[in-house]
Amino acid sequence: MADSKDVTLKIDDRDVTVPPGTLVIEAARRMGIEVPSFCYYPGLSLQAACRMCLVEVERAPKLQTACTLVAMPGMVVRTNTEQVHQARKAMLEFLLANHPLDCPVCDKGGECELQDMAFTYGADKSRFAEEKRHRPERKWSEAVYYDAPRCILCFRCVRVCDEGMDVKALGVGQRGSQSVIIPNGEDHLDCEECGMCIDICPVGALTSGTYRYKTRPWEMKYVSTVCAHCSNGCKTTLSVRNNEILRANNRDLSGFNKEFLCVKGRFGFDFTSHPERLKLPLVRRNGHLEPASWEDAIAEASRRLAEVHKASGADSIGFIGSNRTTNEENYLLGRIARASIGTNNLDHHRTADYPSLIAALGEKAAAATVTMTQLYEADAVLLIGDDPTQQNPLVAWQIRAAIRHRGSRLYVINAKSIKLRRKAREFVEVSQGGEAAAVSWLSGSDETLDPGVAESLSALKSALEKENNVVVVFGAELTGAAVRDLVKFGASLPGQTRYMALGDYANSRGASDMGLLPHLLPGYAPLADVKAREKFGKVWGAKLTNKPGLDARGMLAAATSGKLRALYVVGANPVKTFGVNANERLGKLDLLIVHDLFLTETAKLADIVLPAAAAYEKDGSVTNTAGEVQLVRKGGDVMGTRSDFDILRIFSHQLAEHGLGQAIRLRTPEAAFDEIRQSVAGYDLSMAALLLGEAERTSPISTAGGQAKFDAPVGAIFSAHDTLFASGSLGRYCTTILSLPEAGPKTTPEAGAHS
Amino acid sequence: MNLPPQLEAKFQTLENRYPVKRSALIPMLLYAQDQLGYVSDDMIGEIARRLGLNTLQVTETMAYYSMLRRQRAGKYHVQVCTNVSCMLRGGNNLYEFVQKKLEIGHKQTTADGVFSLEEVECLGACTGAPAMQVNYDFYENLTTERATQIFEALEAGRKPGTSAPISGSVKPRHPAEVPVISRLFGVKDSHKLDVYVAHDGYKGMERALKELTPDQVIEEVKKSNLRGRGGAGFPTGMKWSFVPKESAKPKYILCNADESEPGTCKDRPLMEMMPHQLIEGIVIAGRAVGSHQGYIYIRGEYRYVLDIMDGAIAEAYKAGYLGRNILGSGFDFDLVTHTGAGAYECGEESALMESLEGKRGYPRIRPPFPAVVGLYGSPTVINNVETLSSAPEILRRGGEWYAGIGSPKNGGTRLFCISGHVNKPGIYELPMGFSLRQMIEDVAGGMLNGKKLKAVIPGGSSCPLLTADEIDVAMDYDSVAKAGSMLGSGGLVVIDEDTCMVDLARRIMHFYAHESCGWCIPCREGTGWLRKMLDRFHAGGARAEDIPMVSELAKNMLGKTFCPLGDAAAMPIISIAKKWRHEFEQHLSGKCPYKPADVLAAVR
Amino acid sequence: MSSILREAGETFVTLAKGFSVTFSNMLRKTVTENYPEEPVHFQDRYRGIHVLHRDENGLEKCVGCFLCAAACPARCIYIEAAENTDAQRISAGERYARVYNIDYSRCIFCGYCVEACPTDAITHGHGFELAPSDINALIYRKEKLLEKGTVRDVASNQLFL
Repeated sequence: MADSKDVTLKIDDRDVTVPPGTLVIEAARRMGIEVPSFCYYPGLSLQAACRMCLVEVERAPKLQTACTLVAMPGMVVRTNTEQVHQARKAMLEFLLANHPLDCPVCDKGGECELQDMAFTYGADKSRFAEEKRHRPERKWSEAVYYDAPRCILCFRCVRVCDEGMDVKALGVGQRGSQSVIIPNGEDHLDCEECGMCIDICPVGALTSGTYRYKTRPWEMKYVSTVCAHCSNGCKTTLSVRNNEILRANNRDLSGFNKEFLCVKGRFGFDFTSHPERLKLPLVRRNGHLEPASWEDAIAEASRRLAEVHKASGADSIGFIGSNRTTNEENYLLGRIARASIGTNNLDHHRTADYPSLIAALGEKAAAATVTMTQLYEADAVLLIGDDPTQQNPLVAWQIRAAIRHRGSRLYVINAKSIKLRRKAREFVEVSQGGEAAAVSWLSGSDETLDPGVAESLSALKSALEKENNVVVVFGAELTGAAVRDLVKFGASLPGQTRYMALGDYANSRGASDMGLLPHLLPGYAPLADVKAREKFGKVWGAKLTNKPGLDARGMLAAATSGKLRALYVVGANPVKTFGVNANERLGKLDLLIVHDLFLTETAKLADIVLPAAAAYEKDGSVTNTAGEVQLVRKGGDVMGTRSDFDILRIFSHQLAEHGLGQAIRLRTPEAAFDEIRQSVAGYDLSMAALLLGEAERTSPISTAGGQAKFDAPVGAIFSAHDTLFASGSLGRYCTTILSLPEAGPKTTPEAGAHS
Repeated sequence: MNLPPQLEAKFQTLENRYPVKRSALIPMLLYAQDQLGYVSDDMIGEIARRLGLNTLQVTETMAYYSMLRRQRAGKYHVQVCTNVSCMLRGGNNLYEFVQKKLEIGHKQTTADGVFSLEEVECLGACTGAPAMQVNYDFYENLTTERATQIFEALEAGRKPGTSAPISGSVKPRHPAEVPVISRLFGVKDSHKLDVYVAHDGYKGMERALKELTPDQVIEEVKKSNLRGRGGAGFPTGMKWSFVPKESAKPKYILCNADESEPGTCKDRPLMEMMPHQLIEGIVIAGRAVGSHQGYIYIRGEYRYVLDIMDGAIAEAYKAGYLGRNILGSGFDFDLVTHTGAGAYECGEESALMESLEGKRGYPRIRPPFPAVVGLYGSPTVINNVETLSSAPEILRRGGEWYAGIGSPKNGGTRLFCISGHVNKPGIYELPMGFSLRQMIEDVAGGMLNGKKLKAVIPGGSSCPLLTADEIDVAMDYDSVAKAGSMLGSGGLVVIDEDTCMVDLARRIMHFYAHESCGWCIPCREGTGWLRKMLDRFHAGGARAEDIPMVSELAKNMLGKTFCPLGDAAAMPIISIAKKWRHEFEQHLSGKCPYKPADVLAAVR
Repeated sequence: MSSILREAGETFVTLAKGFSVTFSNMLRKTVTENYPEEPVHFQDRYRGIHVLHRDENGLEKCVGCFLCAAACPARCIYIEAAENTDAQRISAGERYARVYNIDYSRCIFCGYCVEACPTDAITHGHGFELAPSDINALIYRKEKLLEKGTVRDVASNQLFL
């Protein structure tokens, strides 16, 4: 319905009604009228430099730029007149004058905006008879190349780097026709290497170092999936040729991240084709891991696990899951552990205290958390802990965009002077690890703080009290009681305070939601809840035990002490993550089974290693840190690997043959997701929306009742503090990212973080 | 980084001068360059640190301004102007002579590091053409002998006598002249406060502050029919009335002294001989719109003018004409100068504001207009030096008196800078609506060497040219517009029959290609293309299809560029290509039929 | 009587007519090709097995732009491109075809690839002896398609683009 303040204007003899302040170019696009432009880019500052969008406006003496013209009531605009066509043709002629005719070798050829425009609006031949301006191509970094003659100086790259990324690594050198884009390091880039400039470039001036001259756009298939790295869940489109992923970007602007991707999303796909990728199952024979067939490896794994079960009981077996594998895979792993084996020794590397947040919010859990889109719409953001710029780049991008576009306010409490501080209204620097104490103080406890900190906290508090509907974003620094304090403080603020907990990895939230936790079943149903146990027991065809299980650290300690006899690790590297002495072969374990892409520290100790497919090589769903579920799609394929889903499914069949549990009859991830939708609280999502590529937010509700506490033991929740150039164990195989100088000195495989 | 004490002091003043620190960037770079001969990487880092910028922000800003350099220049940096006015009077010959003399070319430095040479665009010495600048000193009306003397003196370490005030400003008055704003030109020490006060100085301001309300001041200016002297001719009173009365942000008065339109050199004498008149005008403008802070943005090359201006401002502060409670009226006003660093585009009002904010001088999107959102996002009045200098007399003697001098809707007098092929080039204050023919034939002493008139640029090189048959026109905004050109900035360039119009077009286009800021496509690419094309055309590579293309390309720029610079580049070319098409056709033979006389040798 | 004479005359005329054709053709140059004893002669426009050309410096003209593959209605051209380096320069442009295969079991010799080529790198030659006993042998690799020639030592700055 049209708002009374809406503006009606006429474009090409048709009326259109738009909200006040809408630009004519946007109003025209809304009607399906294309007004060509190079420099205009929604979300970036206006430029009016390319002059492609010139339109005729009645009663204006000359042509006006549609990208700066605000729609006014009664305005009459024409985009389809002889004068407009002539102007477009003239602009293109000027643009093409010095533009090299190297389309056949240019990486942008086939998806170049200038090509398209020249084709649609340009002249058929060039009248430029002078010598073209030439400058040699420059390599600014392993990721970014700049070819000055191709540059049309639309300044999109400069603006996205400054306004969008707040990096300011690109500028303009010289002036007039000599103008060029210059990097901050004179001849190289010193930046976050996000590559936003490459994808935002309408021509082939900025090109990707990794995709360089490999293929052409029409030769590839495009698979829209979710980034495999951090927990923000950015959509990324993989460009695949011959089952090989050649590049990743989000030019189709799908997903809540729109054009945004960080260095990991854009360049961190090459681990899939890393030479060290495992392509055959390995079985330890005579102390050495030797290649084996899939049949033999799985048969041996299930047989030996059944033996351990028989000899030492269900609780002598432990399971450590992954925060990168899909929801379906996590769900299956939980089922195998709890139903087939009958143990609650089940955990993963927890990077945010989702259970405590959900417990603390109780009934309101769904309404009191925000999606990535809602984060952008927030009027005020309180950020506690974490360094979103490094660890959760989309969160940082959304916060910056909210500040830039909507005048939102940011308040930061952190132990470090993180980059977002520049954008913050108030910044409270607490001591290392002092975030929890600060939150406790804010919630009204008698915590004694450093007087300076208390003073700035009270300034922050009074500023927040003037805000309405604050969004609180917090990292792994706040767990358990601190999360409850935070919710208590949030309740004291005006309006509705909403929350977002920041985890580390692509499916950190999903692992938690799917119950890869010793004390919680899928959907945060407590183990003590008989009804929940009965429900899942019925679905899984087993009677579930309520005997408390060990957490990850507990399992590793039990392995060393000999209480745990077998450990099943899926897509995790606990040896590295939890700092186990790798020489001890995990104590006295009889059996260590590992699914992984690479021979990690943990896999090296394993008895059986199963080569898994990467996140970009399988279908399924993942849940980002904000609880938004999205489907992942199979892009590449590496011969010899299998998805964790397939491995676990087959494994369950074999276990059933050995008398352990029921075989899993879910043949596909889709079937498994269907079961998840029916049985996991909060996952009853619209399949239609998911299939359309949208993100659907889960609505987990703590059914445990008001005062439930899902606290984890001390030390169970911690962030790996991965930077933009690290991504746990996976990051050690991202060749391009590691080659960037910003990634720091080359890390040996031992020196990386966790998986 | 340890700076020389003088520079350190300068930096500290500059850092504290502006509401936004970054504004100090360009002056700091220029002063640092004056000290070191160039801007070193260390200096870039130091300035970035002081202003809280990253080095890229400093280097990219620096790269925009043609006076700033990162390579060391000679002890004496020689800049020879070859733009239109100088070219007509032998600028090219002078440049060639200097090249031979110093044995270096454009942007080169002699082996001993004493001299460096640069061919530059209009220096603002058009009535003293041909001219050159050595460091900040002007040398005008040069001949080979004079140039030789200058270089000999410099080599010997002596300081040759400079040309100040600008040639053509102090001379016997022509009877038709009406000295109003130039009334003290030639009076000894006219730049000093006591001399100015003795000649009714600061009377207009006193009236504005003590007797009139701000609205009455604006009314007086409206009555005077004063129109902007920068070139566009927008009624000044109306411009002032657009500034919102109430504003949460401070309002600013900005004086545009970035005079760089080829053929124009009127602001320079106004500031060097009557700086107090400008100060008075600025305070009056401040009173009219309720502003308490003014900036004078002076082009970088006019360093000595800036020093005179600074001296006058200091004097005015001391005598209570600036600062708190001016003349006991309760009105406060602060005024500072700001130096540019070589960019024609910064004469465009919004680009000037960007430049004053320490950024690359790119023009801004309008609306919003400066009167509402200008410098530092605040309401701003920006006026040309001559416009503001006219205000004191309007206020002292009344708007009606001023309006009475000129023609209808074009009040008062204006300074016409007549240069080129005339016997008496100079700056003449004539009433608006004065006949162009009389200006050339009578006021400026007729054509040089008795040659025939071919063309006139009536108001700086951005205006369409008039032919010898079109000079029966009254020089006011409306009449010149009717004649198909513009009054512009009052820089008349008179061109004789021996001049090749293709060469002239070529030179004009060189200027615009050099000065195009590069922001929008049609101007950036269009000026460059036309420059290359006209170069080739004039050098013997003319093709028949080029002739219609010249005006077609220029028309493709016209009205489509971001700021008026594109129009300014297109208009003269369109008029030349239309009115002197036959000269283009003559070039199809591959040879230029005009042999420009070696004016340098011939005139004396 | 007259009928006999007429008949004889007509017979003679008919014979003369018939033999005139025979004799005139006896003298004409033969059109039958003596293949395989002698080489086959082609019109210039004949579209045979493709040839990948080299430029005057001996560098490959193909810059690996994939336009031939895009134009090919039979989708029989397969290319993998790679970047030239100063150390190893294969083509004059920034990139070259590291792999260039034409599958002659699919090629219909339409000539669209030749039309599409922006560098005149590919043309139809006059080769036609394709038949192999193994279908895999119908996939021709770049090495087989490429014109013979050696690369002259040229400085990279002398090159096109």
